[in-house]
Amino acid sequence: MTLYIFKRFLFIIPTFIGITLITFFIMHLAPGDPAILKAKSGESVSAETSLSIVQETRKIYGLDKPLHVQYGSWLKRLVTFDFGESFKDHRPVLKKIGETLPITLTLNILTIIIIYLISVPLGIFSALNPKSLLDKFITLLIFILYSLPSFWVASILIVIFACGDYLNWFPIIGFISDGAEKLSLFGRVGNVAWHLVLPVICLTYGGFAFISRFSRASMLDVIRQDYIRTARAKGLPEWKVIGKHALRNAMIPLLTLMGTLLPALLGGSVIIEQIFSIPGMGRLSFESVLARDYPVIMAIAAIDAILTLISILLVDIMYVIVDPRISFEKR
Amino acid sequence: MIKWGINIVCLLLLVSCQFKVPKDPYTLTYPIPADPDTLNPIITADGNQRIINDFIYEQLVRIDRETAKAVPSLAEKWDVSKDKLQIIFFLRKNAIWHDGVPFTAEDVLYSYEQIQNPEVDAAPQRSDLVNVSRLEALDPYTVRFTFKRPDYKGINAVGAMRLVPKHIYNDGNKFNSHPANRFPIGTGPYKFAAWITGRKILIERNDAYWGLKPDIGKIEFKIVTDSNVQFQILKKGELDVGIMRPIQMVKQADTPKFNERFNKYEYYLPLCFFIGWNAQKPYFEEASVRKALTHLINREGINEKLYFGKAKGLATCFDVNSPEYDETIKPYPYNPEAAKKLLSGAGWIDHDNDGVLDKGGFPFNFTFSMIGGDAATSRIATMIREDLLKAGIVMEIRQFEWATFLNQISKRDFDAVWLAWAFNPTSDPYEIWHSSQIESGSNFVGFKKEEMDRLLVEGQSEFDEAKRKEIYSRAQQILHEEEPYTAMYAPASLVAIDKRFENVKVHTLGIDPREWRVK
Repeated sequence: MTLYIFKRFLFIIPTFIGITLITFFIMHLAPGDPAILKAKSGESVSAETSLSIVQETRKIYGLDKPLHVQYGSWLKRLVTFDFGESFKDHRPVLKKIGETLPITLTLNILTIIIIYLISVPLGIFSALNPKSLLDKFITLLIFILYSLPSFWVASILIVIFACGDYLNWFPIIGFISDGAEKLSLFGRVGNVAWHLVLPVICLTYGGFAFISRFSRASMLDVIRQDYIRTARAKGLPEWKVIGKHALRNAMIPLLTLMGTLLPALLGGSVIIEQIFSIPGMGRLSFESVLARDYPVIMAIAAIDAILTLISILLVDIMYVIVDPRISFEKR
Repeated sequence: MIKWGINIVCLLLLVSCQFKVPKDPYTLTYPIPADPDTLNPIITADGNQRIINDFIYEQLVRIDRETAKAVPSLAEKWDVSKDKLQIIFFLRKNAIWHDGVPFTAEDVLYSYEQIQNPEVDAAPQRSDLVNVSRLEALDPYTVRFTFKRPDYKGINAVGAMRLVPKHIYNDGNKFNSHPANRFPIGTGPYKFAAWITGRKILIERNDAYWGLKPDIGKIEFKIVTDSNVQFQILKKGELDVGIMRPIQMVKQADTPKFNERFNKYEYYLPLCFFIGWNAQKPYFEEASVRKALTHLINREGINEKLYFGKAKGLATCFDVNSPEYDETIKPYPYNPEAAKKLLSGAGWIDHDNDGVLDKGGFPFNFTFSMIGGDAATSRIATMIREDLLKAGIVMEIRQFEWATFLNQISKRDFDAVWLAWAFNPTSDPYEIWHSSQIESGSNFVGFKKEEMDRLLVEGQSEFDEAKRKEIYSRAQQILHEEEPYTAMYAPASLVAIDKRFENVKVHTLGIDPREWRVK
């Protein structure tokens, strides 16, 4: 097994290079040029001068060299974890990502935990009472939630709960109050939680449908199995049948979903971050794409790629641990 | 379990109560839509830094908000040479940087060198100074600019050159990524205090300021990314200044509660929204067709419906706040009948009776390119499409993202385009309308007229105000006759300001918190 993991690890390297290579060239193929964007942000300038100024700016950004040379030097710097400087403000890319990362992580971990905590029991409940009125109601409800656009829900929530015309329970913007630095740790955590209530609601409600349907289907599969009938036949109490025999087997397919979790932790939601003025990864990547801030785009793509590859590997390893029927040696 | 939930909610509410600290009346809270890229005024490329840096940094001259003319700032006075090719600035001797070091000609020279240095990422500033050939320091408090050709706006261009302290920046760190880019040291009435990325930027009064000291002690620039949310938190009382959209001002800000707390102000922004007709495309070659299109678009209707009449209708694309703007030229009225006559005169008639005008076998069917993402603009485009469709002209709307859009324009790959010019005291109509700028400059619609070319060159070097006004007045008449653009409007800035501030004046160029006094 160690050998297998080692082999898989080696495979990550060419895959990673492939992903970044494609990202790099697609990014450069997209119309728009950071140097022109910069020059055009000033006055309208006469033709000749603007051209020479754009050339100078391209040189500062290192865009005057051929594409393959640019990619080569990017890769070379990557080995030392140097993602370069942002074109926009000349700050190190890693620092910019580092500023937004904790916020996005907090938001996403909370969101994912809440989605799982609510949808898995919901799915199991539906599976145990298939076609019942309640099952139909839950299905309808989660699909209605799934279809509500988050920007609309966010606006409604703000108007009702936060703007003071009706209720004034929550703050509208940011993720922490000014002056919260002075609070105790407990106070700070409470303050952040208070700020995150509305954004987290907006990020979670749409996710119930997918996970709960998934666990419902997987549970339904399992409770039709012979061993469940056997368990019931030998007189085990129902909670033990479900909790011990059915649930554990039904959760194996959910593991595959875990593979998407790690990269999803980093992806922010542009819309929600925009509405609630939360400086997270979503806005950073969106703004970088609009500004053609190549170093930031590449860094985010590279980090995403690495995380995806690692989580795929992790899921495979977890399979073996959870399900003894699967083993690497046989493959 | 439920009990627990209630406990947690109570806890959160308790926590929330601890933050209702009484507000300091001398702190002004002002919204900005995003973090600035940097607070280094030389390498920046965005508008948000300007809002903040205007309080921190100063330039040689200041543009007076009332007259839009240059008045002394870091330069006490200046002399223009007889041939108009040189300006000598006499610097103020009592100006000091926020760290106590005096401001001298060295700083001016250093800033100029940085802007001109190809390794400094200062493309926008460098293009402002293309007409300057030399800068010399005659003594520690005198500098002389030499121009390549006489330009009446030269004083604005060099006077507005952004200045940074040499002793801070010249310390071996790279200019582009210098730590002072996020900790500016200026000479202005406010000092930089803190920048918390994504949340706020704080500045405080500079008590060692050489000029009139403002009354407001601190200004907190709060980052609020969404304009609807900005209005909500304004109502909630977390902001002292709010910038409203017309619908918010008219429909939502007229409640007793709102009026009790805020005064509302209006002024026109130096912007001109327009539709540019690409004269290199067969549809828009003739002036009469462009004029007909203008007649077909119900500009007053759009202003009424979407802007509640708050925008100013324009006849031509000139800076509405500049002294050269000619008020006597009135926009063409909405008049489909006149348009029909003009169109048939140009040969655009519905020959094959399919409801669409055609000429030489080609139907009148063009694309309208615009930047996507803004709901108001999309609605304007739809209204224009409906207006034109009634006259048998088919317009397809295409929306682009900004970088792609710029690319299309620089390749001249468009029929009609929706855009806006933002004017400032150094903008020169030469760049937009001179025929030399058709190839790759800003005259992307390909407008060409000999008389116009002559006027634009004359205007640049005319230092006599009355004569200059005449020249540009004639230029605006030509633009009105030729209609290379259909000028739409200059939008209004609609501002709500907390009533505890007094002496709030609305100048031609807007408001200035430095004058405000706290009640």
